[in-house]
Amino acid sequence: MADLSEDRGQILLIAAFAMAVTFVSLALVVNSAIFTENLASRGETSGSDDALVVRHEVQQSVGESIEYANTYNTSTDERQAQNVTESVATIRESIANQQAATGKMVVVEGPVDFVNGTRIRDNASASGSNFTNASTGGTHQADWAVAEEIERTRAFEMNISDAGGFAVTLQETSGGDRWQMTVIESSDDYTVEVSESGTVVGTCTVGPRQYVRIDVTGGVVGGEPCPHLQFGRGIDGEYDLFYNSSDDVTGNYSMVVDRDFVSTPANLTGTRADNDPYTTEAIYSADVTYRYDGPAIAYNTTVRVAPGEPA
Amino acid sequence: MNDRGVSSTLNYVLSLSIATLLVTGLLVAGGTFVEDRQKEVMRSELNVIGQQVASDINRADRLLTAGQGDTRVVVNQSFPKRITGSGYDILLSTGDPLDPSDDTLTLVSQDPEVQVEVHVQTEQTLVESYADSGVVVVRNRTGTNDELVITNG
Repeated sequence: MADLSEDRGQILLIAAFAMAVTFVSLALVVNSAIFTENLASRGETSGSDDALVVRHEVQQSVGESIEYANTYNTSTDERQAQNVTESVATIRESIANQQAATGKMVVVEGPVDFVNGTRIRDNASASGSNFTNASTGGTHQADWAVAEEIERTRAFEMNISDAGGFAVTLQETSGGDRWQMTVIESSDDYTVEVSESGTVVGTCTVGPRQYVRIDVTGGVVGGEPCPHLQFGRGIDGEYDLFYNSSDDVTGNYSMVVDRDFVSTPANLTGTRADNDPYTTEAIYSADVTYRYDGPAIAYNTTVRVAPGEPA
Repeated sequence: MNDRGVSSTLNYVLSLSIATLLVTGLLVAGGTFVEDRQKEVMRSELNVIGQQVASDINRADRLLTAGQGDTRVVVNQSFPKRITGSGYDILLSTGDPLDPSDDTLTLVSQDPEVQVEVHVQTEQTLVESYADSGVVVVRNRTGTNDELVITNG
């Protein structure tokens, strides 16, 4: 061996130092990777789901107040609007307080706009009556127009028994498209048949029962969803709503249409008669403004409330 | 004595060069390894940030779709200013206007340059826009109710 001095090992030392630096940078890189994993596993941080949940809550609450006004305060549209406006003020307070507890600011204001409509109902006492129209000149008609030139219908429900081919028909006012729902009862089984412009698109049958509740705009028959029952599918623009063979059914019904024609009721009376359908003033829909401010989100919009409107 | 006839200088030079060679090899391998790791980590980091921004865009899209009339949506989220020692940019580019899956978020780091693409699908229209690293805001373009942009908070 050569006689090396005691200064040997510089290269090793430099190398060791360089390696140390390399390892430190590797540690930094790995640290970044850990942070990435953390970021990747972050869930919903901004609270956009909460903004939509609260929006839905507002929609439900205002919807309830509209229904309340339509049911208990049927004198004039103005009175109903006043009633709903006061309810919205209460809803605003309670939702604002509730959300403030979790650090969010929610402001509901309005309603900024109302669409006045008409509620048409036949709520004969006991087990109901048939669905013929109000007596005109002492005669009832089995096939008659319930509402003409309307664009929307909501909360259309009926509770019926003994149906033998009773049908609800929507006919485009200035087009050829038609939508029809027929109810047939056979040994206490109820079948709802839906057809579009004469072609049957599907049927839904519910088992034996004394009466069946049909949510026409909601697509529910006897508590079971009926996928074929999509109210007014294929109908564009204004339409007329008819009843056919309405003497072949017994029960009650109620609906709200978006036309304010209580003053000139076509086929209908404005005063309640036990066995005949009648109309009352109703709010069809109301628009409220909604504002949601969370730590990472700001959302302002208008919420249209029309409870029971088909999707 | 087996080192007879070999000068000590040659011995010294030989051992020094062999040591240098070995050490250099080790350093190059180590350096490349770290650099590869760094790029890999940056890629996954950009990917994660891209996906977070994409889901923010989707959240804003949902809120905008649910809104009616004049709607204002602002969703923000803070991301690291630098990833593995490098800044980065986020570009929202819209390709074919008829193809909704053609909208892409491109994230590019500065040094080393790593590029990652994340596809976004939305109901509303996305507008070509750009954001730096840091707080990224997704909002509807001022004055519109159906166009989303990204920007810095």
